[in-house]
Amino acid sequence: MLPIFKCHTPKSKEEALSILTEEEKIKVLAGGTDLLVELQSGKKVENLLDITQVADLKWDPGSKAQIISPLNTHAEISGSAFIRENFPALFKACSLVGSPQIRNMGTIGGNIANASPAADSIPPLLIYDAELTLESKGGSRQMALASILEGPYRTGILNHELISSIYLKPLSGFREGYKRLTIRDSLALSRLSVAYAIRDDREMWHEIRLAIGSLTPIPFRAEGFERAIGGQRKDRGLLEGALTDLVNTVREMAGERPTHRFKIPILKELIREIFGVGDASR
Amino acid sequence: MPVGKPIERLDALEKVLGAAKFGADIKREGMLYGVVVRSQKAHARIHHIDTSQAQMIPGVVKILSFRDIPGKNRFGVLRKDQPYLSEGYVRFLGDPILLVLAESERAAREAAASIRITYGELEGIFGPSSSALSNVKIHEDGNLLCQKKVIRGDIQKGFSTSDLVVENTYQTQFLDHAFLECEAGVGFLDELGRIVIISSTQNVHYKRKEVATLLALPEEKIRVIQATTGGGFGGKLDMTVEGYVALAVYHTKRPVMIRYTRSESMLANTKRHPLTISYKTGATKDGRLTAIQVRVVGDTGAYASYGEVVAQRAAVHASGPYEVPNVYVESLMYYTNNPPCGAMRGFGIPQMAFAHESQMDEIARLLGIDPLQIRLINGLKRGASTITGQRLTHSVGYIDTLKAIEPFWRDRRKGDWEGYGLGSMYYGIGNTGVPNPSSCYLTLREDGKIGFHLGACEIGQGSDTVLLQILLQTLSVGPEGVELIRADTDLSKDAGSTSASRQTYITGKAVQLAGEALKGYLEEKGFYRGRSLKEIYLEAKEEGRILFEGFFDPPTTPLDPQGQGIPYATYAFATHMTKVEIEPATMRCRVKKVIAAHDVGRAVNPVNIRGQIYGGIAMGIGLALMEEFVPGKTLNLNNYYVATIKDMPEVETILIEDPEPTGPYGAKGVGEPALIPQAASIVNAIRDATGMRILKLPCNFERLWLQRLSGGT
Amino acid sequence: MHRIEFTLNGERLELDVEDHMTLLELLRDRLGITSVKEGCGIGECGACTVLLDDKPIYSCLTLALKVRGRDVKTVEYLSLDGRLHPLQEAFIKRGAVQCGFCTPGMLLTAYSLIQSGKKVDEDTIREALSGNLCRCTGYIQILEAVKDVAHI
Ligand code: FES
Ligand code: FES
Repeated sequence: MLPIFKCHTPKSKEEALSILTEEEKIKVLAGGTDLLVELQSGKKVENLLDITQVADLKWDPGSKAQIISPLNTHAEISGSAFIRENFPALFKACSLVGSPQIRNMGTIGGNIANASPAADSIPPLLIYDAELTLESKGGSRQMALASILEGPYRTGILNHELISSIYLKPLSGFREGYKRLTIRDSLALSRLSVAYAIRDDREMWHEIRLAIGSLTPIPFRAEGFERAIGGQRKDRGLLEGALTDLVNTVREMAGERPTHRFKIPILKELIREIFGVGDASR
Repeated sequence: MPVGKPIERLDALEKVLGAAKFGADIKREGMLYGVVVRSQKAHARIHHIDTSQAQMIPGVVKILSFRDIPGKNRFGVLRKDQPYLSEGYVRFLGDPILLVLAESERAAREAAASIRITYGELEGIFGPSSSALSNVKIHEDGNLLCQKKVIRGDIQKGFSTSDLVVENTYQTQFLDHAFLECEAGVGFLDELGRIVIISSTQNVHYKRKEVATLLALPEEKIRVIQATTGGGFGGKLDMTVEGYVALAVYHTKRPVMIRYTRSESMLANTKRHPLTISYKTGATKDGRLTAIQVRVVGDTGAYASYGEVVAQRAAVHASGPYEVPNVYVESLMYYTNNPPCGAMRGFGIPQMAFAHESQMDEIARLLGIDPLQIRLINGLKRGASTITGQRLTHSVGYIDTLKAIEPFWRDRRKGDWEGYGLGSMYYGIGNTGVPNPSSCYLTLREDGKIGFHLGACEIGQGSDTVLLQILLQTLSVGPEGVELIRADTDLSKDAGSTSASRQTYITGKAVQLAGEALKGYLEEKGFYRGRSLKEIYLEAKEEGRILFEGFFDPPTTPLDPQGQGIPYATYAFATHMTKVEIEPATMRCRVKKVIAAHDVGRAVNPVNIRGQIYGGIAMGIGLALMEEFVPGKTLNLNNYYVATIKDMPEVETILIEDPEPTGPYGAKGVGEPALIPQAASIVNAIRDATGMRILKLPCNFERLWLQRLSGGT
Repeated sequence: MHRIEFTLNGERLELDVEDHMTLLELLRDRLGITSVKEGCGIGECGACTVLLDDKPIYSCLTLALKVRGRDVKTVEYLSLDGRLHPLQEAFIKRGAVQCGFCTPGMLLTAYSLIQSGKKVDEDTIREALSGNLCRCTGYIQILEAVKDVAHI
């Protein structure tokens, strides 16, 4: 049973933004797959702003090239040929979210705003250097996704702001993917996730993008790791060294956690596998 | 011939139409809603309850406490130790305290949430070992609920003549039934002023008894009817909403509905008993078992529920389906401040199978004998004796299950990170060494139909259909000639609970006997020579013979203090062979294929039986790999993982029919046997794939990785 | 309060709903369509699945007011013409129904897959049904039933 609240259903962005400015205690509702779970579990709220009927916030993925709508559902993204070709890691991640029903409901904007450490879509968005347009009544600003993720379930999006579009930079000549660890294959939370893009040949790792989720308070781009092996000759020792540094970074970001006992070895194995030097010894 | 045919389920039509009425689907004019207020502490005295805010919420009608109970504030299937509403002391997180009744569900829930309770917390006991040592007493009689033994032969001698002894301790987890339909029911007064309860349940007659005691009313003043029930698995055997619904109707004289949310269900419902099983097995070089010494220590949580039954069954089935000459089994069950543990599909035997099947594989490995071979060597055969000294003279299909699996086993080809494992089980059908009767009756009716009055609860397993098939077979009539009246205390006799895989075998036999009685009469009256039932009815009415009863109580003997005797009249046997695949980077285990061979005596409805086996495998995958209830943490299905369709392997079923002479047309039971060997076969397959012997369930990636890090085996 | 107009199983409806009412509550409590079940209330079981514009969604996590102007289907839709849909027949024949609590949601999800015109094989069926839990059947006979209807 949901608590009692008032729900606003604006039809235009302008209307939505004015309501956001006027109402103090208000939360934005998109697909509802996170917010309504919280409300069903006892959280209270006074006002909701349902933005799913805001026409000028909505368009098909790919119809404005690299700019996706925050209201695109996971199903729309994983059903889009444009996304599959241009952003395969995002495509893969969105196709794994929750369940078909959740994917039909949940939106990418909602995923970002909820800022769960385990959000499947965030690591791939990070490797495309996603940039958000945040609009409010007074104007708009562009922010890198990485810079607005402030903590678990905490973002720098201001109360009266809406994500109005998400801009992605495609990577060309990369092989990309998304891997995650879950207890079961559907209806499951990621316990660890890795989005990657690698431009390499037989000898060299030319350029690397790697983002990790569900391990630290916020998903992050492993920039140190990218720099350490990007542009280098393929070498197992080099990779191992970079992994050690990566683990140290994780420890700095997250502190010591009991789950690291198994998550860190799994992370290393996943990355070795991705870089084609899986531990074949066992 | 209806028996042996894949007859379509009776209830399937209304279920695919969405028309079946489950507990929460029933509506009555002027219905109130009830919500149970539960303890937020695991062990505490209640200092103060403040309901002032709740009383002010519009729509709140009454708030009931234990003081409002006219009869006895205790229930329990064997030991009546569980209060409906706390008397100032709570023993687990979720112990019921008050019952709020309101005009709407929202008002009832808001009121319940607004009630402030202050507690004086007491030291909690959260495991059997601390329960055994602590001087904190959870119940007056002490913390040990029971101790069961099975002793046979000479255990010392057994081990001294062994060439190999293998010793391990196995640990299992709390599980939730996670039936898809949460507990729900409605109650109201009928024209006669009696209290009627329609609820989601596995046993209407037992519930009527408990409600009568609760309200200090004669049983005739209570009528319990089963609503369509969305799964039970043992979790709807204990009192769920019925007592509260009855109490509410008693006080308000109005219709009342209580339905648990998933979180309430998880708090309130009984769990599968976690067992710690210390298992020592001796064998000779040629692979013969010489002795087993087993100590089972279980956690029954705050109340007894079925704890004693589980302890007893665990002891009796400790060996698995093998002949062992020297046996010493001790099975103890302790109270703790954990949620009460009760009946759950298999009553402790899925846990035991995990242990005994792991032991069998370890012995085989250390002796260099093939795992299938070692089971063939030791398996129970006709003429062999179980560890309770029961000589099995008929329907012992265990070896046949192995033989059926053998070609698949010999053919297995293992790739990297793949493994194959076997799991076997035997399972006594019905209750253990106690009378365990079932009755049913048939009536001749004016409309020319035969009334089939059945007390057995259909909880999804298909008993309505199977029992009807048995009746049709016996009477040689078609389904159109029979009307089923099911699980209504006014219109049926006690068939016992839908539990212990007993309905096909025990109630099935009662149905057959009732059918035979009626058939004799119909023969006499010329029905099979063409006389109509309407005509016969008129004559029967004259003669005062319109009711034909069947009764069956399987022949068993009580167990003596050494645990010797004939606890069950018949046993089911099964072997599963499972293929797993491990994802090397993550240690995620996926089950790829299962071959399941079951001796069911006689397959009354093969499609139904296959459904039971598939469902059992799904639950076995959960038990082995993903399900774990953590008291205080697991509050909904978002952190209680049951298998989805993607987790299901390819399955092949093989039905073996070694007929049971006392059963209806040779049938036994399959509901629990379907689950029992599955987890065992998975852990053995994981051993095969990784070299790691699993001692603790569930073995999710986390446990497997930690074990791999600590050096493997 | 919101006045909404929508299509339910082919019929236009216009009614007032409270802001905090879920679609599940609207269907079950207001409209008496109890084929839509609640198994968890938080989007983890699929018992409350309905089709919104022919796509399966969880009605427990959908505000009633969101269906304004849209098309909602419950399992009743499948046999509106008085005949069982082939999926319903296959579910019965294959023994895909045990307790039946998951069945309406399962049927709707399967129906949406079959109607989608997408290529259907065992993997796509498994994927499509992976948001609907069934605690009884172990899914195999459900899979068989959907395969029958998809002719695979
Ligand atoms: S009730 Fe909606 S998904 Fe479970
Ligand atoms: S048939 Fe019971 S949950 Fe699916």
